[in-house]
Amino acid sequence: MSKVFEITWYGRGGLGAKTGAILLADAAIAADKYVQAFPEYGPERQGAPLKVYNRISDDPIRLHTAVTEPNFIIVIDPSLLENINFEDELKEDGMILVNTDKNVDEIKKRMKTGKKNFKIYALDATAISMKHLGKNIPNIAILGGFAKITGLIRLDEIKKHLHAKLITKYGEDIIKKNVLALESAYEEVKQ
Amino acid sequence: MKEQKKSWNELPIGGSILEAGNSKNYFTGTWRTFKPVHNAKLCINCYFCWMHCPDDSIVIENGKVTGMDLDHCKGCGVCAEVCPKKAITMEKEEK
Amino acid sequence: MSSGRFIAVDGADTAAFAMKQIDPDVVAAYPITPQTEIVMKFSEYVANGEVKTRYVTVESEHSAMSACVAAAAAGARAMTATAANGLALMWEILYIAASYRLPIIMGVANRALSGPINIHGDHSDAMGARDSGWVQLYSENNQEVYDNYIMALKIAEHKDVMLPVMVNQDGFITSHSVENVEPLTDEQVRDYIGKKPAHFKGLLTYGKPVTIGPLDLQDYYFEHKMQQHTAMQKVLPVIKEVQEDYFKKFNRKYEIIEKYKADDAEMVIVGMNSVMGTVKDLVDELREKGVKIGAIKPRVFRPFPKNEIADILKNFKAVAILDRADSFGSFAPLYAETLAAMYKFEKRPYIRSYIHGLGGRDTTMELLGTVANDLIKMKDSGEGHLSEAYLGVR
Repeated sequence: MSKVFEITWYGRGGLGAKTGAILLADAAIAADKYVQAFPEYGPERQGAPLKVYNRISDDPIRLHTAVTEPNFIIVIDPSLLENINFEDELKEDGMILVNTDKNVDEIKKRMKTGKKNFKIYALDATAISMKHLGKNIPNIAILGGFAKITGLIRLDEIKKHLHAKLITKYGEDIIKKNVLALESAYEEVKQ
Repeated sequence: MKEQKKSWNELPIGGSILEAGNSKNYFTGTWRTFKPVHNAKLCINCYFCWMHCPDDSIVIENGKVTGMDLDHCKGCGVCAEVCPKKAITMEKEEK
Repeated sequence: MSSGRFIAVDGADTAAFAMKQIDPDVVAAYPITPQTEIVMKFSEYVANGEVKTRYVTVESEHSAMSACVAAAAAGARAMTATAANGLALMWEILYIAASYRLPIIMGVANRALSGPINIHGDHSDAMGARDSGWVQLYSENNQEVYDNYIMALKIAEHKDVMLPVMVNQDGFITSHSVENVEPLTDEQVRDYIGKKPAHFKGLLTYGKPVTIGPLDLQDYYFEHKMQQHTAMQKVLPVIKEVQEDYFKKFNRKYEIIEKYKADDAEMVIVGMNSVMGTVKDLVDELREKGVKIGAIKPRVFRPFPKNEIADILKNFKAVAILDRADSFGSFAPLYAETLAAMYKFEKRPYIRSYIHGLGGRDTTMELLGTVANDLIKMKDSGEGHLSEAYLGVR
């Protein structure tokens, strides 16, 4: 079986986790990878907790199940941090990217990591989003951080797809702001 | 005399009827118990019967009602009912 | 660097994209989760002028199917899409579409029929419609959704067939999952599907009026059912022909029943739609441990490929049948029909029924692993033969 890189996004409705996962898939496909991006649908309500999944692989992906032990967890809403059992849900040596205004040492104390060894990254995606977009849609900044950490997707590919997705609905100006958010996240993410 | 009906692989598919106006070939005149009889002397050619007949069985020639198409008239009696001059009467079919 | 072969697209948008390339004369549809995205996306194509389709907004699925029947009867290429309760509301018109021999194409994002209310993927909707006279194609992933749509039109409009075709995919599991899809170009699709064939005339033939759908009583109805029965029997050879042609033209190979690592297998898992991807991964995993297991995936459920499936299954020691639908009070649909198909042989494999994934319950690798374990036990001892399980129920 081929090596499949699996990602679980923990978010809430309205934070753009699904759009983030789709942009991630778009960017990975541009690198000739095979991808999946799919949400775990509950009732769709703004603010409700939700999970979105990605799979990325060099070979065709055939699995049609939820992701249960990912390589990477993205916590797009830090208020969910205490609810996630990282020890059970993440692979050994897995990576965690948290949207937070705290540093890694501070958030580590709040996380159920058990004995497993994880790499934890902190990124204030909300602050970046507020600064460049004027509202809390942290998904694009998260992608910048993800690109930096994993090297699985490239910034220019994300930019290209951002452009394609947003141009008719939002126009050049919004795209520029998103690109700034993406780039500063790429610089700011910290282990 | 038994009618030979077509078999499934000879019929047009889906029950479609490919021939237009084929109800003419279906003689409903045998269904009658009473038949309409037209009296030209009383008739004022108001066409009430023609308008009401459900089987298009009132025959009009040169603007005048000349009689009934008894091949298709089912004997419902609507023509006699609507006639303002009682120029159509329903009479027992003689068989 | 990117070869640009693939687009990242979910199953619903894949369906809409295929519909766009087909550019049917008429689409009449009513939205219902998880089909909504198909018609939402397609209506966008209509609004942008990317298709010439006349899009009919209707007030229910009953009307959607009625409008498609009318359009197809008039001689138009008509398409729609639905799911679950929407399909149920179309019920009586489904039969009419098939009986009038109208080659309508309908996408179904398979979803549980309520109640209690549930919007997620299972096959209770399509299985309920299995006797309506529609051809049913099933799709494991988004690529298959795409290719099935394109081939469906050729199957439906074939002169020996002239029947409506349902293209099934699992609601949410594939309809809302973004995957790689390699589409054909617009020109390729246009050339492949071609113009409406001459035998598909409909009502709008000036100078030669016809009647479609007249009263059909004891003296002819039976003969017309025989026609429908016979047309269905011609579907499998037509599908085979269409699939072979598709392979020749586009190098994409599909079979009526896909066999995966089955040639030397002692045991197989049989099922339809998205779960079979997961089953293939399980097969690979177990093969590495030396377990002789394979997967069998019927892509067509109506007409049921009874001889094909029986001939494939007869040589295995143990067979597990996965049904994503129940048939309350009887055998699950795929199981029942497989059993019936196997009756012609004296020596038959051990066989077992698994109802799984109702209401979108995730059929995981672990659960499928228990199926494989059951098969390993059953293949020599016969333990569990003819038993029926609700896979993973609490």
